[in-house]
Amino acid sequence: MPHRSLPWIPVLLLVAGCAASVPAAPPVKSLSQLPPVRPVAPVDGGRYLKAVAEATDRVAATLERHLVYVEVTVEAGAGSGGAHGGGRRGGPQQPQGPQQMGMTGVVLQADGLVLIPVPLPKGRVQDLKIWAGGKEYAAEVQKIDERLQMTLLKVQVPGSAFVPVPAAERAFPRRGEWLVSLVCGGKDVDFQVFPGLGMVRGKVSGLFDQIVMDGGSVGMGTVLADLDGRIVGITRVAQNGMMMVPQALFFPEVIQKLELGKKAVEVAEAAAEPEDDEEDTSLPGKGKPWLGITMDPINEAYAEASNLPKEGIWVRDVFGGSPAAKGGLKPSDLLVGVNQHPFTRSGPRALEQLGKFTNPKVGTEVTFDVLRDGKPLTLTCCYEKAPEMADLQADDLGIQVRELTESLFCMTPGVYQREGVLVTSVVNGSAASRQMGPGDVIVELDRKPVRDLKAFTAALEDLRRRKAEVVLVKVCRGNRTAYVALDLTLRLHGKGDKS
Amino acid sequence: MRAESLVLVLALAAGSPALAEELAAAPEATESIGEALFKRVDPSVVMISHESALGSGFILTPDGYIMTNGHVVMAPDAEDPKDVAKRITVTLYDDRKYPARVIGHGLDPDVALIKIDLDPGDEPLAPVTLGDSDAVHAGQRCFAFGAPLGLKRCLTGGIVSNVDRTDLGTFVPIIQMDAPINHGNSGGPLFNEQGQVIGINTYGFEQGQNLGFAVPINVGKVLREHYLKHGRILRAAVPTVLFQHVDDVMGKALGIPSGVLVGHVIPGSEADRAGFLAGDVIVSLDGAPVSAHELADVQRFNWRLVTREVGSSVTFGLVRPRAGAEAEAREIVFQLRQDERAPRSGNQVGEVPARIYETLGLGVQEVGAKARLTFNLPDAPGVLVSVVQPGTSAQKAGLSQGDILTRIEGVATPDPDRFAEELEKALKGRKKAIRLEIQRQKQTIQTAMAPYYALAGKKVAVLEPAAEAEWMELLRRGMLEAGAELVLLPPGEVKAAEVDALLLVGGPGSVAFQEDAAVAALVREAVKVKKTVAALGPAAVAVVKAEPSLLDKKMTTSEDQADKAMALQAKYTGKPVERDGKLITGTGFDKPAAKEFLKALVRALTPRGD
Repeated sequence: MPHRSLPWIPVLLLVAGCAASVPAAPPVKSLSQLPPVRPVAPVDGGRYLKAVAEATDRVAATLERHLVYVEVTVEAGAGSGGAHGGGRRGGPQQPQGPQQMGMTGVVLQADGLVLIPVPLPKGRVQDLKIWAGGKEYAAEVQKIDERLQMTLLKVQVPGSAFVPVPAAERAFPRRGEWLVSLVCGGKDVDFQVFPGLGMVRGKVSGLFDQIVMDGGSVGMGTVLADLDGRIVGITRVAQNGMMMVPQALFFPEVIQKLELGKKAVEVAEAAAEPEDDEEDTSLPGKGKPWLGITMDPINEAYAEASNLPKEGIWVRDVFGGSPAAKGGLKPSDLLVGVNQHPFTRSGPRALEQLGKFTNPKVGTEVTFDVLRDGKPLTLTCCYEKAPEMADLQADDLGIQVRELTESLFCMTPGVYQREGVLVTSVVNGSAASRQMGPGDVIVELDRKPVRDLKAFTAALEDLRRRKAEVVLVKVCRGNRTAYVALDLTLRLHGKGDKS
Repeated sequence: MRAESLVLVLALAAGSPALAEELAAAPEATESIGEALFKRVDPSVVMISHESALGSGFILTPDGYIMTNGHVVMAPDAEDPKDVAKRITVTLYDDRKYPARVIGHGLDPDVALIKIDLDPGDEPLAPVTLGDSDAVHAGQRCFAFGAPLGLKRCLTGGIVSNVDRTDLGTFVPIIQMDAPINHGNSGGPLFNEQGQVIGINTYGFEQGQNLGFAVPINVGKVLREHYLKHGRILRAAVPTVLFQHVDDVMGKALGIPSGVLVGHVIPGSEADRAGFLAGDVIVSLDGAPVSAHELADVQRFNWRLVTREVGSSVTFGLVRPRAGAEAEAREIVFQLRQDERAPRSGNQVGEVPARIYETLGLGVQEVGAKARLTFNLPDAPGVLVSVVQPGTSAQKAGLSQGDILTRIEGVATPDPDRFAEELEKALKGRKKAIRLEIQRQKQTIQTAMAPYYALAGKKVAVLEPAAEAEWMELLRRGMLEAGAELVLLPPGEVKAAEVDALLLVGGPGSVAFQEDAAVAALVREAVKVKKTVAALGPAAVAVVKAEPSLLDKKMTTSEDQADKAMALQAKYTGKPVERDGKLITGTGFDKPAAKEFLKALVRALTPRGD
C-alpha cells in the first residue's frame, strides 16, 4: 500500500529539515501542538544500574522460596482423540517414547498445592516430581483447568518446604512498568531461581486479560513480579511450543478463577476422568453443561452493510428441547452481550468475551442480549447437563455407532441424512474395514430400516441369533446411498460372537 | 558341445527345459524386436509443442489426424476448460513442422485429437496400427515412444504391470507399465511387441520409479469418433451416480450372485421416472448378460454405457431383491439422454466454465444434481464457489470452495448469469460491502465481501470493434471490479477531457480502427489532454498511427500487425504488454496476455499505484 505510507514522507522530510532550519511548513504546526515532554533530571548511570540490580535481586530473594521446580513425564499419546476416531487414519498407532518436561511451579498453599502454567494431558501423566528446598517430592495432578490452560498439582507429604505465596492485591500492571521475571532451573543448575527484567508493553483483553511483555528474558512458563515483590503475572507454556509476543495472565485473576476455596481438597482423579464442569463449550458431551446451540461471529463487512453491530455472535442451530430452546433462543438471533456485558470485540474475540463473562455450570443461568430482526430482546437460559451419547460397539461388524440425534446431525460435517445411526469409527482389519468409514449413516441393516439405535440393535441381535454369515447394509454417504456387504465370518480376534 | 549339454542339465534340474530354451534365446530376440519396432514406428510418432507445454503424439491417418493427451493441448486456463493452446506445432520424425488445430479434447479420459494439413506434394504421413487394448495382459512386453523432456524419437521398454488400474481415480481403468516415461512422453503411444498401439502414455508417479500409466487405446478409439462427430465427448446419462460391483460377499448378501448394483437413484431423475430403485441389480444389457466383480469391471461397464449414442435406447434386465421373498425380475427400456456437464475434480478441470472475478478472487460455476451428489454439496439453488484466491475480498468474506452461493444482496442467484447480474449491479453501485448468502453443507451463512475499488471515480471510455472483438468481456469485468465507470459511446461522442482513459479493445475486427477517422481524432485529443491510452492487438497500431508523437513510445501489437507497426517506424517490441508513459499496448495473444494488459491499465490509473 504505497499510497498509504506516502503521507509520512513530507513529515519526515520536514523533521529532518528542522535541524537545517528550513522555514516551518504546515505539518510542523501539528507537531508543535503535541504536549511538551517534561524535562528529565540528569541521571547517574552507575547509580541507576546499581539500583536496578538491587531491586531485581531483592525481588528474586523474596520470591524464590515460593517457587519450585516441577518435572513431568508424559506418555506420548494419540492426541486428544478420546474414545473414537482412533482407527480413522488407518494403520496401527505407533507408540512413541515418553516426553519429559521441566518447569517452574508456584506454591499456592502450605499443604502442597502447586500451580504450573500448562494443562497436562489427561490420563497420560506417567511421573510427577517436585523439587523444593533441594529435596524431591512425589506429587499428583489435582485439577486440570482447561479454561486457564493450567494444572494444579498436589504434593502428598509437603513438609515445611512449601511456602505459599502471600495473597497480594494490586492493579493490572500499567504500560511502561518494569517487572522481574523469575524462572526456576532444574537439577543441573541446583534448582536456582533466575531473575530477568522486562517492560510491560500493554494489555490485551480476551477470555482473560493478558499482560503483553517485551521479549528478552520473559519466556514461556516464567513468573512475573513487580518491584515490590508481588507476583503479578504468569506466562503459559504454549501447547505448540510457539509464542509470538510474550503474554502473561494477570496472577490475581488466575487465583480468582481457580476458586481454590471451593475445591480445597479434591481427589486426584482429575487426571483420569474428564472434568464435569469448567468446560467452556456448547458441545454436547458426557455430563458437560450445555445450552444446545451452535454459534458463529458475525462477518464485519456484513454487519456494516446491514447496520448491525460488528461485535455480535450469530446463533446458528438451536437444538430441540435444549436449554437454549427453552430460553427462547432461535436460529439467526444475534447475540450482542451476555450477563449484562455487551460485547466490545468482533470476530473470534467476541467468542472469547462470551467465555469470559459466562460461567458454564449445570444449574447456572446465563442472560443474553439479543437482536432479533433488529429488535433488542433479553433471554435467559439455564445450563443443563448435556444429553449423554452412548456409543455402541458392534464388534462383529467392526464398527462403533451412535444414534444420530439432532445435535449430532447438525455438528457432523458431510452428513445430510437425519435419521439412522452414525458410524463413528471402524476397526482396522474388521469386516467393515475399507468398506465403511466414520460419517456413514446406516439406514438399513439386513434389509430392516434403521431409524435409531434401538432398531439397529434389534436388527443386529437378529443377525447374531441367525448366525448370519453375510449382511447387507444400506448407508447414506454424504447425500447419496450406497450398499455395503459385510462378511461376518471375518470377526475380530477370530471369534467375536457377543450374544 | 560340452557347454550346451551343461545348460541342458541345469535346465532339467530346474524342471523346465522349455523356459530355459526361451531364456537362452531371449537376448537376441529382445534386440531384434526393439530394433524392428523402432524402425517401423519412428515415422509415426510426433512431438507436439506450443506456448506452454511439450508432448508427444501419434499419427492416425495419412492426411494428418494425430492422437495425443488432452492435457498436452489444453490452455492453462481455469476459466474455460474448453480453451486450447493457441500455437500448436507438430514436429515429425524428419523435423518437418506443421501448425495443428484441435478437433476435440478432454481431460478424463485424457485424450485429444488434432489435425495438421499437408501441403500438396508433401510426402504422405505414416500412420500407426492400432491394437486391441482389451487383449492386453499384465506381464506382456511393451514399448513407449515419445519425446521425454524434449528428447525426440526416444524409445523405452518394459512390461505391462497391470491392466485394471483404478487407483488414480480416473474415469476408466488404465494400463500401468514399467517402461520409463517422463514429462514430454505425454500423448505418445505405448506399443506391444507387434508394434501396435495399445495405449496413450499419460501419467507417471514422480515420487516412484517406472510407475507409468497409459489410457487404453480402445478408449481412444471411442473418443476419436466422438470428437469427429461432436468436437467433444458426448456422455449419456446413466441411471445412477455410481454403479457398484457385486463381489462374492455382496452376491451372497443380495442373494444374487452377479451383476451390477445400482447404489443410488436421484429422486426426480429420468432413472427415477423409468422405475429404477436403489438396490436393483442389473444382470443384462440389451439381452446380453453383464456382471462386475470389481471396480475396474464397473468402470468398463459404465464407459460402455456413457459412450453410447445419446438418444438411443437401452434395455436393462434387472433383478430386484425383496426382503423375505423371491427376487423380482424386470426389464426397463431406458432412453439415454445427454449427461450434465461435469465440474472440476481433482486435477481435471472439468467441462463447466467458471466465471472468475480476478480482483475479488472469486470464481463460480453452475452445479448440477449429479455433481452435488458426487461432491457432497447441498441441494440449495445457487452457484458453486469454485475459486477463492488467498488474500482477496472473497477470502476475507470467509468464502471457501464448495460453498453454494445462493443470494447476493438478498436476491436469489440460481445460475451464473443471475449471479453475474446481481454482482455486477452491486459493483456498479460501488457498494462498500456486498452481502452474500451461502449454503455450506447444512449451514446457511450470511457474510459480505468488501471489494477494493482501485479505480473508484475513474471514467474509462471503451471503444469496441464493430465485429470480431476479443477479450471485451474480460476487460469489461476487470474494469468493473476495479470500480471504474465505463463510457460506452461511439468515438465521435466521447469527450476525451471528461474521461481518465481511452481503451481500444482488440481482436481481428479492430483492424478497422486503423482507418477510422473518428477514432484517430479521439486518440489525438486524448493524447493532447494527457489521458492514458490503452489498446490491444491491431488497435495498438491504430493508436500510434493516429498520433505521431506516440511513435516515440515503446509499443507492442499482435504478431500479424508487426509489419504494419514497423512500417510506421513505431518502437515495436513484441512483448506481451508494453507500458511507456501514458501509452499501454498489448498483443492480446491469449488470456494471460490480456489479463496482464488489464493489470497494467489498472496500475496506470491507480493513484500512485506504481
